[in-house]
Amino acid sequence: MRNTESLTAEQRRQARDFLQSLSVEVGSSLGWVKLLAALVSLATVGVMIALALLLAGVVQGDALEAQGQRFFVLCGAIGVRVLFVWLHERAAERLTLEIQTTATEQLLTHWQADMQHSVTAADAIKLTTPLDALWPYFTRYLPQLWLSMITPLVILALVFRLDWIAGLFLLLAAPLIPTFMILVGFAAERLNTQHFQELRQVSRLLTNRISALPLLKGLDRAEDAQAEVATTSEQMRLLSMKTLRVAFLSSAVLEFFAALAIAAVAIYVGFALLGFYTSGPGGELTFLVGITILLLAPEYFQPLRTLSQFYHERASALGAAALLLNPTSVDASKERTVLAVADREVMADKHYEPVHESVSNSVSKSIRAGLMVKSLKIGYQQPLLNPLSFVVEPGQILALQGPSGVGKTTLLRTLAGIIPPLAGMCRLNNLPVTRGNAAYLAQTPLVIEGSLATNLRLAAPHATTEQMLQALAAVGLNDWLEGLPHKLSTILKAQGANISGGEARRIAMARLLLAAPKLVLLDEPTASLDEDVATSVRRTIESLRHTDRIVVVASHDPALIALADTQLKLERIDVD
Amino acid sequence: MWTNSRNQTFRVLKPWAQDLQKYTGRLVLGFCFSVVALASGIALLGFSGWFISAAGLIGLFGSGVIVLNIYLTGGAIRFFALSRTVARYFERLSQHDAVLRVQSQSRVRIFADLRQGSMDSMKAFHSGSFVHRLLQDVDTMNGLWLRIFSPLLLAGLVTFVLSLLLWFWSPWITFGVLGFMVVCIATCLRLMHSVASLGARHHVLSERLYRRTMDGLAGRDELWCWGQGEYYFNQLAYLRQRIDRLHQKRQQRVRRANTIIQIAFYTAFLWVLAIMAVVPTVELASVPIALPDLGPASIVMIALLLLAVSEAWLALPDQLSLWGSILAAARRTEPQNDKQLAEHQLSLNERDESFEGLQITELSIIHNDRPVLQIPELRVLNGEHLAIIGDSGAGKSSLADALSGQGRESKWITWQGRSLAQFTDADCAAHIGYLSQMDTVLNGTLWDNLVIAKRGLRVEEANEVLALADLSGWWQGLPEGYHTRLDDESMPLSGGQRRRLSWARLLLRNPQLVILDEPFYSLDHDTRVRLEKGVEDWLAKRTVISFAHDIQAVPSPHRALRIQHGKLIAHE
Repeated sequence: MRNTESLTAEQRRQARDFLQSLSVEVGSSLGWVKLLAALVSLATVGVMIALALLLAGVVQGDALEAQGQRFFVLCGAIGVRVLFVWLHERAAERLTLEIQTTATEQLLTHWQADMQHSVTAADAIKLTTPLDALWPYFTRYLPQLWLSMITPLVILALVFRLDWIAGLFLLLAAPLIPTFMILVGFAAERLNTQHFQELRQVSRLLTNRISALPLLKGLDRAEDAQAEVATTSEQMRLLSMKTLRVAFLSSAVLEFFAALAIAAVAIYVGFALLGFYTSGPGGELTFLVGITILLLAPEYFQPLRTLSQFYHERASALGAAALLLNPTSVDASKERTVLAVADREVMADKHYEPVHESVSNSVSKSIRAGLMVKSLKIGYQQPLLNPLSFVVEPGQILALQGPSGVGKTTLLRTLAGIIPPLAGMCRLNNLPVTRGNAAYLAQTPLVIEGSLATNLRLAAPHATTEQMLQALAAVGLNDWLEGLPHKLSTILKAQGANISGGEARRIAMARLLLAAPKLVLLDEPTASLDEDVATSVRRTIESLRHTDRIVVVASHDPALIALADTQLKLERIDVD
Repeated sequence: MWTNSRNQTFRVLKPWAQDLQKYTGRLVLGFCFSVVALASGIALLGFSGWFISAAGLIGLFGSGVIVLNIYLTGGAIRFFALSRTVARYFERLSQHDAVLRVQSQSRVRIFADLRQGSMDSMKAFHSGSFVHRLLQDVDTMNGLWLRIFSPLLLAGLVTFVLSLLLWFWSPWITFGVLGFMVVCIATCLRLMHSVASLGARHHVLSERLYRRTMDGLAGRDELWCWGQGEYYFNQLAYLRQRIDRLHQKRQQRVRRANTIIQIAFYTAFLWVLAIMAVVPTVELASVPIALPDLGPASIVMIALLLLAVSEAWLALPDQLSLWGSILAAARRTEPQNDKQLAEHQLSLNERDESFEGLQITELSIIHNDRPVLQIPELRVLNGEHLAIIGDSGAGKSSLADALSGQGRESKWITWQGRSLAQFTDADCAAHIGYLSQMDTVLNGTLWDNLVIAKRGLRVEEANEVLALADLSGWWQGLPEGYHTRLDDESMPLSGGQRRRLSWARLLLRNPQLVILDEPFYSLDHDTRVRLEKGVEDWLAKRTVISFAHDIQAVPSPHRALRIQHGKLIAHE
């Protein structure tokens, strides 16, 4: 529930639309669940009527044959109800599976298809927690919502036929319930928003204190922090209770009216049977009708009571949907605002000269081998840089320079073919760049959970043990490998948690040696590495030159830039 | 790894139980409110029933039959209507208040535990997800009282007290109600036991999925460049599917428990009704039990009381299904949990056994002391259709044998993380369907030839698979139908018919891994097309590895590899 409180109106709307579209997609299964829920409800009414018949027989002192028959009718009705409940739950299970499969598929397709929107590791949570919170909305809330509209109507119609005064009691109680619930609900909502900021602050504090524990302990302040956690928790409890006090009122209202209506019906029926009313339907009320009405009265309110229990399922599904839709990462628009800030800093620095024209002079159409870029415009919707033209020949290294945020990464991703250029052309050996021709190594090296061999074979699925050992030796990892108990079968943890950044980087470089792509695109390959590792990475890059690869590297590392044959200084597009 | 020994359960829950203990007074208060709320609900329905039946009796037979104080009874009904509402409101408030206090206490306790850890172990706290999960686990533990202990206690207590009160009318009613209660408690305990292990597995898989998704998203660009993106994300989809199936299993257990409780309740209910309302009207001395002599009004009241009691039990299975998550949360938050620390510490001492699907590592096929095929590593996803193309003598059939679990090289292959060498014959038969190049016709009838593939084969099934294997025309033309003997002398089969008979046998089984060696060998083009169409659906749900000399000779694969110079390379 805590999830939804933080949603803006826009997010709420999007989340609702998403749930709506999902429910359309699983329409037929959802229809079955609704139908079976209605059948369960009807069967319950049937059981109550059969029971009323039997009990009326007891009171009237009916003969054995009649009672025996009624008993078996009751048995039959109960059997039917148990069967429908079973079928309903089974249909709900199938619907759950369908919802989860559909949502998984959508999410994974989106991640793969939409390379323009960058994602971060933090998005991974979307595939676990929110997906687990979606189903109750579909299997519980939606069918119950439907049920709470039809079951009361059916029972009301039945009771009206039997006795219109009793029907009137039920009818009058019904609209009062939602009215009061809404009134109380508004109050709770207001209170919620009031407390929300405070609540978020204290929960943040709690998270922060735990993360900061190593520091706090180092400063010998853990004792104080513990006291702080205790007071914060207490504060959280008080705030939550304030909201709950009002929120529970809404269900109390529901309970109250339900109980009151049952009591009123019982008393009315009792008095009618005693002969207190001579006119109206009460005068002719029989015991059978009376007990039927009494048994049906609780069932009249039951769907609404259940709905109020399931109400939080809707809230958590909305929260989950919002989380699924929420782009936690930087999208294009955000990136531009970041760049605008970076831009102002660059303006002062006259060191960066526009160089694209001078480079373009060297473009010659006769060159067939090599990377040829002509009037290339890059960016997401809007160009980030002035059109670029350059040529890199096999065995050459091109260094991209420029302030951070200028678009180096975007250029590298465009050259790799991950995102399409806005305009212009980019050809490798006179052909468009295709997958497998170009390798792009991002700033954080790729490490997946699995063996070292698995990690290396991502680039070359059929690499032999010898080839892998050679590649590791070439990047200077042979000593490290010697020390591993399982050698190539060693398991690397997710996010490379059990290896150092330098090792991860060198594994990525080894992968490059195994795969032998024609075009190698490197994004800050030596950043945040110690000098020894950086040297070995530079040596590997140097060695690529001897095998006639084309290397484009974005870097701030002077030693690496010194290796380059050509340098390209990037500057942001002229704003005017 | 996650054993369910009772001792361990007690151990992991102990600190939480101690937290609860500190607030016993408040918890008992909240519990009392819930007892009052439930009892009021029961009384409201019971009194209403009694009131209108008594009124009905007076209406029918005059005021002499029963003593009814209208104002007292009417007042009682109104009182219970009110007390139920008020008690329910305060029940919720005080239960939540108590539980939030306990939660606050637990947070401090966990913080204190974390403080005691070594500096090294605390590095894990830096990851936001660790702390987030920790706090979520503390939230989940709220359910220990609210969803497990309290509802179980409430249902048990109220039912027990009521059944004792009913002794006043007849011990036979009490026996019925107590019997119902015993069945319910047994069912609930069994449910808790099974969701506990499901919850633990669910947790392990979710964590794995989360970690791997992080890897995949962080390295999405690079995976894309290496052409591994689709493969990797498919793997995530299968992992997610396994989690969904576990969840479905949990729901199935809940449904089973629900059904048992319902049947138990209605049996008890009908039993009580029968001895109260139906059997007493039988004027027979042969009824062996002493039947209660109840007034009609009491009968109606007791029936309604029981209906109201059932409410407390029918909601239980759903609440108890949380037990699995609660135990998992309790295990994770165990102070100085070795596993928890190990998970976040540097360790390079594990082997990869977690791959879902088929995995071959360092396999060589040797013919006459000469290696003909070497596979350093090959992975096939669950549900993937892989074709391996190669010339004769390239080692295809040997590899197919190995994949079926029958070859010498099977030990280098794992299926769902388990080495094929560990598979017994029964396991192989259950998991793997192998269509080898050797088509065997048993000496016997057509039926004998089919029934070996499936015990308890039904005629409709046989008809269906023969139709799918494009053999219906043939078998309908047989002189004695299924009883025709397929001997080489009396009824020789053509090569194509033998192949299709092998297919029909395969289609009768339900293996997850299917190995096809030259699947459409010796079939003419039209037959092949019909057969391919017939088996399409059956293959779609399974992992399929097919071997052939030519890409045209296999059902259209997702991925194709070619054997060249003893190595597997991508098929162009």
